[in-house]
Order: sequence, then C-alpha cells, then structure tokens
Amino acid sequence: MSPGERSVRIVHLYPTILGLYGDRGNALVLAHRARRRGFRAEVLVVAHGEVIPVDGDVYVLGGGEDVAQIAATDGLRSDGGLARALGEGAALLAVCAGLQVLGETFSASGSEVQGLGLLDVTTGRREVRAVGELVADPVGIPGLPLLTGFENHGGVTTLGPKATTLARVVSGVGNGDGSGTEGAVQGRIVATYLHGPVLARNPALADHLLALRLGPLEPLSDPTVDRLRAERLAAASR
Amino acid sequence: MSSSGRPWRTKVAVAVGQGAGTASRWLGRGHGSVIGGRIAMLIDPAVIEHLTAGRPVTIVSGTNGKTTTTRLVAEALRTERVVASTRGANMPQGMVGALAAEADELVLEVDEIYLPGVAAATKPTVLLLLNLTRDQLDRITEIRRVAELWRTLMTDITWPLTVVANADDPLVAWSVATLPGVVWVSAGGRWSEDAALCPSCGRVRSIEPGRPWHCACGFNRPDVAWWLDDHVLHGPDGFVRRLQPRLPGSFNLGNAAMAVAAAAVRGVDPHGAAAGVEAVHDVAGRYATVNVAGHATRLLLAKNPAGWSETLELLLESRGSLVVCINARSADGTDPSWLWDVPFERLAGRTVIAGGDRRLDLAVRLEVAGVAHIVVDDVVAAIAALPAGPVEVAATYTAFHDLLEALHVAW
Repeated sequence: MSPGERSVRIVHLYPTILGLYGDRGNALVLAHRARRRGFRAEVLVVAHGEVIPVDGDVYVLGGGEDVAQIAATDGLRSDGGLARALGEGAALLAVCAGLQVLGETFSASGSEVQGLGLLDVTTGRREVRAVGELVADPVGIPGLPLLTGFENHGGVTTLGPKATTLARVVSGVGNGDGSGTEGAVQGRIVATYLHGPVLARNPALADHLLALRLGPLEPLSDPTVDRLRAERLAAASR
Repeated sequence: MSSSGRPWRTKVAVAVGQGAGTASRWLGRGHGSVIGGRIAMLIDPAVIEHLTAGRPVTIVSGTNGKTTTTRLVAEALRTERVVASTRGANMPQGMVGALAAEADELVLEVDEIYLPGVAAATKPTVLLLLNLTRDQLDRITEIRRVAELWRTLMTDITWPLTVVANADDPLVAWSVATLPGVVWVSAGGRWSEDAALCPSCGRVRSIEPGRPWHCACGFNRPDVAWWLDDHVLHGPDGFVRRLQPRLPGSFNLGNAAMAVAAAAVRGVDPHGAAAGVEAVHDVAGRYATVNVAGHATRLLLAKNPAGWSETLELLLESRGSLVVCINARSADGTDPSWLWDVPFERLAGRTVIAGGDRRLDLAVRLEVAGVAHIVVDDVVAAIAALPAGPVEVAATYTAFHDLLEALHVAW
C-alpha cells in the first residue's frame, strides 16, 4: 500500500486530565512525521467519558496529577477500548502518570490504586521527587540513539518479568528502583518517564512507534531537532 | 508604624539592604531589590513583620497577572492614599525595599508557594487571589499542591482578613471555600485545562464555555459580587461603570475588575478606583512600546500556557512582526515542555523570529505547528533588520528581563 492510500490514526487519550507536561506534543509529532512521509494522518482526541475507538494505530497517554491519574484509570478501565485496541495490534506510548496507570498498582493521593494491568510494572512513591534532565540509552529498542527529556515524577517503578527495560539511565533518575532502568517495553507498549515531550526530542522513537504499524519507514532529515538534541545532551552531561 | 518607631535592628537591616541594592543597581544587576532584601533579612529575620506592623497590607497572589494586578491595586488605592508596592519581585527577599517606604498602605505581590509564610508575617487585611494554572512545574510540581497550601492557610487565619477571589477559577474557589465572607469576582480566564477535574470531588467536569462552572457534587461557581458584562463592571450596591483599561486584552480587564473590587474592600470609592486602574499603560516594562531601531516594539511577558492563551490573541490582532523569546532558567521553570500546550498552530501564515536560550525547543515546536520561523542568536539585531513596521515581542520571565536590559528600558 502506498503512503497516500494509508491513513494513520493517532488517538490522544484524555489530554485535559493527563496532559500536564506538554505531552500532547507526542500526538502532534507522530502525525507530523507520518504526513512528512506522505501518509494521511489524523489526531483523534478522546476526552474522559467518550468512547475510545479500537481502530487507532498509535495511542498516546500523558502525565498528570494524582486525582487525574485515578480518574483516568477508572475511565480507561470502564471503557475497555484501549485494551481491545492493543489486542488488535495497536501501539501505545505512555508517559509518566500514563506509564503508572497501565501497571498493576500505583500510589496516588496517599493510597495504593489498582492499575489497568496492561503493563507488568508496579509503582510506589519516592521520598524526593525526581525533577530534571534525563538521558538514557534505549537498550530495549535496538538501533535507537540516546533518549533525552525532562522527568518530573514521584514514582518508584519496578518491572515485572513480562516487561523489559526501555533504557538504561545515563544521567537522571528514571524508574528509580535502584536498577538503573528507565521506562518499560511490553509488546507494542512503550512507557517512559520522559517529557519534553519525548517524541519531539527523540523523533527516532516516534518513527519506531509508527513503524510498528506501518512497516519500515524512509528516514527524514531533522536538522533543527539534531541541533536541539546535541544541545540538550551537552547540557545534561555538564 | 512610622519608620522612626521601628526596632533598631530593622532600621539597620533596611539601611544596609538599601546600600547593597544601590550597589547592585550600579553594577547593572537589575533592581537590586532581591540582594538588598536578602541582606536585610540576614540582619533582621523578622524584618518583614516589623516593616508591615501597624499598616494595612493587601497581598496579590496567583499564577498569572500578579505583577500587573499589584500595580492596578496600588493605583486604585493611590487615588485616595499614599501607597507603597512591590514591582515584580514576589519572594520575601524582594519585598523589603517596598515595605521600607513611607506609606499609609502596602500592596505586595507574593509568589503562590510563599503566600502562607508571607501572610503569617504580614497579616494582610486583603488577600487578592487571581488564578492557579500550570507554571514552573519543576518547582511547583503539582498545581493541586498549591491549592492545598492555600486551603490550609485559610484555616490558620487568626486576624481580620477579607479574601477577594476569582470565582471563575475552580481551584481558587476550592482553596478558599471554607472561609466565610469571600468577595467573589467573576474575572474570567480563557485557560481551563487545569480545571477539568472538580477540585472538591475529583469528578471530571464538563466544561461549557461561557457558562459558570458546576459539578454534580454540588461544588459550583459561587455567586459573585462583582462581574463584567463585556466592558461594563457591576458591583455591590448597584455599582455600574464602564471599565476601559489601557492595558490590552480580556485578561487585563479581569485583573482590573479584581483590583477595583479589592480597592472597594479597602474603603476606596470604586468609581475613583476604576479611573486609577484605567490609567495604567505598562507595568514593569510589560505592555510597554519602545523604539528599537525605528520599530515600535511592544513588549509582552508570557511564561506559561494560560498566559500564552491571552498573548496569542494579542499577537493575532496585531499586524506587526512577531518575536518570541524562550528561556528555561530557574525563574522561568527549567522545563519548557509547556510550549507544546500552546496552540502555536494559530500563527500559521505568519513568520516568527525565535530567540532566547531555548530557541531550538521553540523552533521544533513551530516546525510541527507549521509556522514559518527564523532562529536568531541576537534578538535586538534581528528586530533592527526587520522591514519597517511594528513588532510584537513575547518573552518568558528571564528572557523578558534580558531584553529590557539589552534595550536599556528602565522598569
């Protein structure tokens, strides 16, 4: 199928409650990079309470505060569309609070909350919040360059046997459970603590998510992003 | 208390602090108010308490519009009284200079997080609360936490205090909901992305533009004493007056309404207060129009998505060239991810000059938004090189002050 005939559907879940740190940019970057390759692309924004379509290509979940996290978990569970879409081969990028709600349990508003159980991780609470630039080597997705972004979270995430590490921390905190890992990969789920938003600063990760659905993609030239990455990586190593 | 009645330690603290502030200004390091205040607080840790004792204090806090509204309140009160106020410094170290002035009344801008401490030290008569939205999340971390801090403060109030609050902001309303006698103002606000959840019960609320917010749990927008009907301000006792601030934008109309309400609480005639508020045309360099190599250049401060939702309207109304400067130093917040919460797509068809420390983050954002842009190292030189015509500059906090310095604008 030529790109022109294939329409790419990005589903941005609950941006008004999970979208605190500019994570909506991830949906914009996915659509932008698909379009630059000649695909038709649309970003479908789904608000809490609306029906989640199951025919999306890449789903995007962002970060947010405790109360929002609990509301999002309830909404995603009662709708069920995200789990069905993943069962049908969709890809999912989950950031920060989004990572936590996918897991088995997480901690919010002072209690342990049952997550969606779509990702084999559990998240407890950190004593000191992790805030700052984060650089990590994406060992979980071979061929990707270093990941760069900004973390701002109070979670300690431990991976279970079904999840693999997304990346090894070069500088910053990441999952923060003492293993030196950052994020998780399980099937077509990519989960990370990186804001920035992560796909704007790491377009190779955006292309990886698109390729999971579209097959191999032609490379794009990104001189501005290359300069931004060089600047941020240099700043983090100072 | 007159200055002669202050404890000797306070007098020494102020004198030494002012000396350091003068030296700092002389060295070209800005107002000098922060360094001066820091030294004064080292000499007399209770300097703020001592300087405010016996004088009515109005405190202005919130995420956006603090500096502007502080100035508007000060001008409203000045129509009848001698008033001293802060000029942009909003943490305790920066306030000492303003507090040391001879004045009947004081108006202080206070950072959201520092509010409980400063309120306890200064025992304000009026507390003006504007809005709570995402800003400097590396420092503030969660907006809910600020609302909780404020809510705790309200239970700790032991002195006579009137809160004047923006009823249109659910988080502000929740933070003072336990306090009786709040003077509610409908000051509006375009940005609603941080109010999608009911602060009281955690339910997801439906947001209907133009309608007062409400929730199934019964936590609804309070009935207001002051409201705007387009440009007409309505207040208690049948007060009605057209309000035409010289400051641009609907946001400043709301700020002006809040200022008039606060001045009325202080016993100032609201008609006179409104006239005082209307006359303000720039605030600490913000909204000022300066000449840059022949270009009439308007300076706008925009530091977070809520502020930008107002600033974008001003840029869209303008036919001028557009310059945006983004820094991410500690006073700006060190994470500029929020650039992706700003609908820059609306500037499609215009060309933006991108400057500031984080111009590359901005450039990537504009690229995805489909907005033509030019990345420049030197913004002033770039403005000078533009074809004839007006220029609009929007900058984050430290980028704005860098620019004032580069343009030799006094503030």
